[in-house]
Amino acid sequence: MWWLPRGLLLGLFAFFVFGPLVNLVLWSVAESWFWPNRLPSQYGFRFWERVFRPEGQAMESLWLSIWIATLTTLLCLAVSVPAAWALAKANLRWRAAILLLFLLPQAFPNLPVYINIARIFFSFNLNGTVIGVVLVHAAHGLVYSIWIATAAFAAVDDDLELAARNIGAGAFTAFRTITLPLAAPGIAASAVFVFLESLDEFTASYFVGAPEVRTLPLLLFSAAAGGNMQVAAITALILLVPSVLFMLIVERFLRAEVLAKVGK
Amino acid sequence: MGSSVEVVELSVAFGRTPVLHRISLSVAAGEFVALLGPSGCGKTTLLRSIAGFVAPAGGRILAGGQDITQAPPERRGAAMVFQSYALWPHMSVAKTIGYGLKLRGWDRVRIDVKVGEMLRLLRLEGLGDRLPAQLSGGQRQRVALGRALAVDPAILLLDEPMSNLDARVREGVRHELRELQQSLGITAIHVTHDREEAMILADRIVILHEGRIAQQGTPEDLWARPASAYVADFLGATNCLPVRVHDEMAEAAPAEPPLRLEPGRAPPNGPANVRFRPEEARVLAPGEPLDGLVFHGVVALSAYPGGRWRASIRIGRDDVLVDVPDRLPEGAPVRLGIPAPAAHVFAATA
Repeated sequence: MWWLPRGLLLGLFAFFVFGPLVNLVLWSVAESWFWPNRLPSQYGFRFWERVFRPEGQAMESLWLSIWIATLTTLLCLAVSVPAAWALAKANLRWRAAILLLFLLPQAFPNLPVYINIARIFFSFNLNGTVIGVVLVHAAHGLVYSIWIATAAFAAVDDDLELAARNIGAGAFTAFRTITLPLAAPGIAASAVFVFLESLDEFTASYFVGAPEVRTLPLLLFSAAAGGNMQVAAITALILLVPSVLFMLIVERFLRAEVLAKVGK
Repeated sequence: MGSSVEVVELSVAFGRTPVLHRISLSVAAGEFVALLGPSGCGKTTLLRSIAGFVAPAGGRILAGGQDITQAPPERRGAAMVFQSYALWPHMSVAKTIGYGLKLRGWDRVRIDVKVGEMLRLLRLEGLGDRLPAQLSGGQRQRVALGRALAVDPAILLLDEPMSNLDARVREGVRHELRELQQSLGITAIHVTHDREEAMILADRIVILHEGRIAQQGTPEDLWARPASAYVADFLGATNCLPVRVHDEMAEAAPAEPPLRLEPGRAPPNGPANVRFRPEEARVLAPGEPLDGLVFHGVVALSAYPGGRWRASIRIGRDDVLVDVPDRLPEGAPVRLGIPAPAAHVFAATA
């Protein structure tokens, strides 16, 4: 009789995970769904068509979001690879303090931080620009990229690089051919996290970017706020695709040893 | 061809902890020198200083007459085989061995030829495409050696390269390594804590003790004439019995004649210890004379480790181990003889 409680628990669990997803899918194909009906009274792909129409805003927002996420990722990598290398290998005196410093943006409530950033950006004319949004996303993403990349570099045994130096490689060549490729899976994982965070980010984009920069989450918000549940559902489903894809990639590449070194 | 290595008054400290105290050592071109000592004696630090991985606090290092104290690791002409092998997990055997050649700007054809040669020399044929994770311990060790040898280094540095090998594999590898070093004429500095390994491999052994050189010399010389109790103990003379020294004569049991010590090696008058190896002492027949030291004791225990019996003999309050051809009955009184060349006498405080 054990299958019964087990089955029930599994069913409940599945409902929690997939229930909202099913709801999203239903909304995305509901052409009319009025209270008190449990299910839509009319199904169709009219709203999908509307969203994917050339003059529809969804695709434009999607490309903009991907563009911002890409820039954010590149910016974070440009900072985090050298910084993480130094933190992991260069015996810095304030190592722990520096690592904590990058956690600070997470330590305070989001709203006041972003409102202040928006105020500061206003005086630099950065509000409503892609660069402004990228900068604020990067400040947030650096936490992941620095912490994970530091762990990835720390997981590479010093002797591996010395072995290359030893037979004639200069410091940079040894880094490029040995340390970097060995840390690459961890760095790639951090890049994926940064990319996804940027793609989903709402609060900062809202204060710094809106209304000129309309990322996909902002579009989703205004669609949902305007009662257009179909467009909101389809937007949410589109946002889901890169997340699931990248999670699969991360799961394959991020090794347990690297995760174990986070914060060491 | 190898080049000479000269270490002049080298001091190294980690933070405030001194590790090497003004060590001076010279290694001739083509010589095989073993740095021997227990862990923490500074032998690996000395090797890593020569490789350029550790910055010395004082002193100089010269290779082939050139001062390399401040040179980066890649400009020293020294190639190291690491204890962990430090093989690159993402690089195949062939790529690993060819790495140093590629850096030197060799074209692919030449690299392939040389790598093929190294694979043959190290009996790794057919394994060129494997990754380190797909190799056995012995194969990894040979790849690490191949990577170092491929660049024709003037100096080969070996950091306990055999400590991760099975005892049976190690035996063969020792002789191969010695042969290889001699045929290439390379200068080799080998760090080990294994006495037998050092003796088999090296032209000269340098014994380190707490960051200083305790003694150096040929294996035979060190074996026959250890300069201190520490060296004697490290070279297998683990038995220790008290004697009295008087005018260069050592006295053991009161009823036995004293032993005249070698002039210059005798400790000052007073209490001293004699150190000897279990396999060099023997049990004497009643009345049998011996040029050496004789003690009277009782058999405490006999054990059979294989080939011969090992008896534990109680003399006064001390127990010593002696190899004997036959089992000795427990409790039997015996005369224990230590032949003069095997008896190493040092002052009791040393």
